[in-house]
Amino acid sequence: MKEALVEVKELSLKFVTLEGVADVLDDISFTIYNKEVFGLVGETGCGKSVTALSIIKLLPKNSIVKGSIAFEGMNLLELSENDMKKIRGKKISMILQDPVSSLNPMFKVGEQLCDAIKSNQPNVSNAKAKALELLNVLGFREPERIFNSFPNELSGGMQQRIAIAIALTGEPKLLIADEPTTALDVLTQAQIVSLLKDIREKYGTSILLITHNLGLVASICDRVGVMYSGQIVEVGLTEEIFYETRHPYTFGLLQSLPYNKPKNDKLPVILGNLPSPFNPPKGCRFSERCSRASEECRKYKPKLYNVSQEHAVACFHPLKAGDVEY
Amino acid sequence: MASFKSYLVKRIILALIVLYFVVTITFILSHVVPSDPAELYVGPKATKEQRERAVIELGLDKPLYIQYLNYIFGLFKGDLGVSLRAHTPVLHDILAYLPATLEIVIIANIIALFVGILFGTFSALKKDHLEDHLIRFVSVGGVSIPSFWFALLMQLIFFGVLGILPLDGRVSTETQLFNPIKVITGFYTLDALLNLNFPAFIDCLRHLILPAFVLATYPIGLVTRMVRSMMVEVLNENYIRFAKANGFKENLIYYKYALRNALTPALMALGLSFAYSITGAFLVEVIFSWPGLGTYTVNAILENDYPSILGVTIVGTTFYVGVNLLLDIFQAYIDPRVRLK
Amino acid sequence: MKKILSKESEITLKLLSKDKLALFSLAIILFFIILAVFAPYIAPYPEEGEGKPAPERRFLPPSIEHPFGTDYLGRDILSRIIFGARISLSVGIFVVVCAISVGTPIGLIAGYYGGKVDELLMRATDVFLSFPSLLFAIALVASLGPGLFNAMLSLAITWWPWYARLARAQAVSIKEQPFILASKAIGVNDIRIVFKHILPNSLTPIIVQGTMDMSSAILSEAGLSFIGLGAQAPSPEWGLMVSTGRIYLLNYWWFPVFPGLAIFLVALAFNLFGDCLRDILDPKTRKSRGETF
Repeated sequence: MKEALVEVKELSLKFVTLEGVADVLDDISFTIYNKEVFGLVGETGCGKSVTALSIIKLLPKNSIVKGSIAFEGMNLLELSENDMKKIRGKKISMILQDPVSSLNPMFKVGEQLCDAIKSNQPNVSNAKAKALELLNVLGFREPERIFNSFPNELSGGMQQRIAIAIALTGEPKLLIADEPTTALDVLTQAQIVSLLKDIREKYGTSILLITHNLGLVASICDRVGVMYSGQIVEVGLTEEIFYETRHPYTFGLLQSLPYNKPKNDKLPVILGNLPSPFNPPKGCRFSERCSRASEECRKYKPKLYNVSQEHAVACFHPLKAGDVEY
Repeated sequence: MASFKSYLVKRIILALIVLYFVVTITFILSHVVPSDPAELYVGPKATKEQRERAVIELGLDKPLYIQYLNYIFGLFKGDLGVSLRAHTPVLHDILAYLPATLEIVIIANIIALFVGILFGTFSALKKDHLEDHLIRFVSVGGVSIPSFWFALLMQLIFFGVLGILPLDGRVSTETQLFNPIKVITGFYTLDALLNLNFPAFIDCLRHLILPAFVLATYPIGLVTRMVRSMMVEVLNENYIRFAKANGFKENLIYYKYALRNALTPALMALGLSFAYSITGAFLVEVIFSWPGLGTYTVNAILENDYPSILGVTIVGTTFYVGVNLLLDIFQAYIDPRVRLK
Repeated sequence: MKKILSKESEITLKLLSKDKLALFSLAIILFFIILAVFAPYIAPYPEEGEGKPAPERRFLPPSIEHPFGTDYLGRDILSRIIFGARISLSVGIFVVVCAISVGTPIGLIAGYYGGKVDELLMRATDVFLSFPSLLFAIALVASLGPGLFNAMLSLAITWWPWYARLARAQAVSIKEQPFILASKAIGVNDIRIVFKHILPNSLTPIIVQGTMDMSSAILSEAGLSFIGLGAQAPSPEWGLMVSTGRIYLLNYWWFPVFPGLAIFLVALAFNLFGDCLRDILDPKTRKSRGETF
């Protein structure tokens, strides 16, 4: 029996800017279960990063948020900042896209790690010992040397692993990883991926993995949510999303992957651009670029409905099994 | 790995090169521009022979490049020339007047450092709220207020109207007569303490307050603004956001991490404010009849005493270069990224 | 390229019009400009403003006929202050314009060409920057002789290095941008690139610094006049008035206090405006622009 860890319900987010009000998240809903890796995919600008920031409540001041995020019986959106501080680092933590800018350049790595430990596990008597232990777990072969180094003396991959170490000091239930491998080379990416898998096994932490890299999703995620222009268009088990694709956008994404394609064939591309958040289309936001769109699609917004126990799609003309050949 | 030592060496060499050019420019100013130093040396009523003797004594008869070389060598020996009006060595006079100036400059900058960091940090944390606007008004005001006018205002209020602080001077005549201070360091407050002469110490403090406070207004404004703007920038940095997202205690984030990153510009601001203090002190000293370099220089100006003026320029600039060098080195020590440049 | 400028300028003007502090300081600046331009028509006693004494009215305290009182020669202080605005504002403009005109091209060229040219020019500016500027001004004026023009010249000479530094930093960061490299590739003349492409994009920090330097120039010049190196009697220069009035502080306080207040207000207005301008133009401190992640 799977237990829900985080339930996002009808979360909507708007930014008030000089150029107008930007409609960034439009009533999105999804669930993350215990001990699972949930991937949130989509193009740049679709709203996946702000979803993460909404969960951990570190949005900029000009945000207007509605909806609910249920976690351990509380609605995170209704919590005061003081209460939220008790959750960050201890129950929910987050690693950012660029590991190089996540660590303070003026302090040694060990000191930052110890400060994290002192903040998230105040009962630990020897912070340094715990820090060295964590570094060990994260695959560092010379924990002492790393402990005494400055961040700019280490490689990007190492910095990311240290950021992960800091994020784990409180043994959180949910780790949000925002594009954790985008800034790294392929080999280091693989290292980080296997590291995240280990973390899930060892600590039982759920991971919300935000990425635009479908390959990454295929290798590590249990369930996936596909986002487009501030909406969740399809969500389900990884196999279902990849092999029983329903939403035309998801299909377009998968088709544009350069794997298993005959050489010299043109790479299929979804024509068009993301709609502007300042003036989003009234109906389905993907309708302008969709080959299956009809009048209904342009007028009404499709809602998520289940096609199997875990698999849901928001489309008036979803693909059916047998529509496409793989 | 960038070494602290190599940065140190590079920086010192650079400072020395700069000093060389400073000295050369000062020479050009002193020997090429003014009308007739010899005449000024002996005064308008001198005879022709006295004038000619003065020319030889001042070395003005030798060709320019010889004068230049003598000048440079003289500097190494600490010879800054001779005052045209007092006929005493300039360096000697400068050293005599220096401690009084240093006393108020140092105290003013210490006040400015503490107040500036406090106000700047607080202002950044309360950004766009009332406290921020008030502090900003005060700091911009501090940078805009003419020091000589503010000094007069303070005299008017605290002496003229309230009568609680002395008008000017370093020490009252009563103290000089009944509790004279034995001068050790030249810093009267320190000397009074070292002699356990408490009534004199209080007296000195009372005389010090207004000049130091007036001198501190510009640095306070400068440091506050710089600290605030750097803190605001730092608070937006990814590593602060990362620390917040991962549960670091708030005091840790603001007072350890953010502040350390913001400290560098605070020190830079202090370097700039030191430059101001040196010259700002001039104006303040005049108003408070404070017997320091400022009074010395202003008197030299009134009497066209070029060697004195230029001697002060060299000393003041050397001091400024030295202070900036120290601040750069300190900054490289705390911030490892600086060493890579 | 032109499009980029005007959209930024549009947003800047929009934000400026909403910033109360900026409008307030701008109003003060305009007020003083009007005083300076129309001095003979606004001042109640214009001849005294320019120096004519009226010995029968010495040391009168502030009243309706003389809102700021009269000085040691009986002259109406308000009129003198109004005429003094002409001096202060022209000093500010002269010094800042000179410093920018000299410093900016030097900095842009140093930054753009880099290498030996850069080293040479920057060492030269370093030397000038190592002088505490007022001290250097004092030394220069002492050599050239006292007077308003010499004071202004000295200040301009000590000030240009700042703009050279600023301009250089801008040139260095802009020259790597694609549109510059593209222009080079087409074969556009270097000088054209520097002045037509790099210069307009470097203006922002220079304008901000220039605004605040107006304030510093006015303060420095007042200081120089105060110690006798700047304007000379009977000029209605504010620093000179404070200096002359100093000995009468305890008996006839209005004499040194009001001219000094004028210096303070003008300097404050320019600094506040420059501060607001900087907050608006600097993308990092702009309020509520809405970030994208």
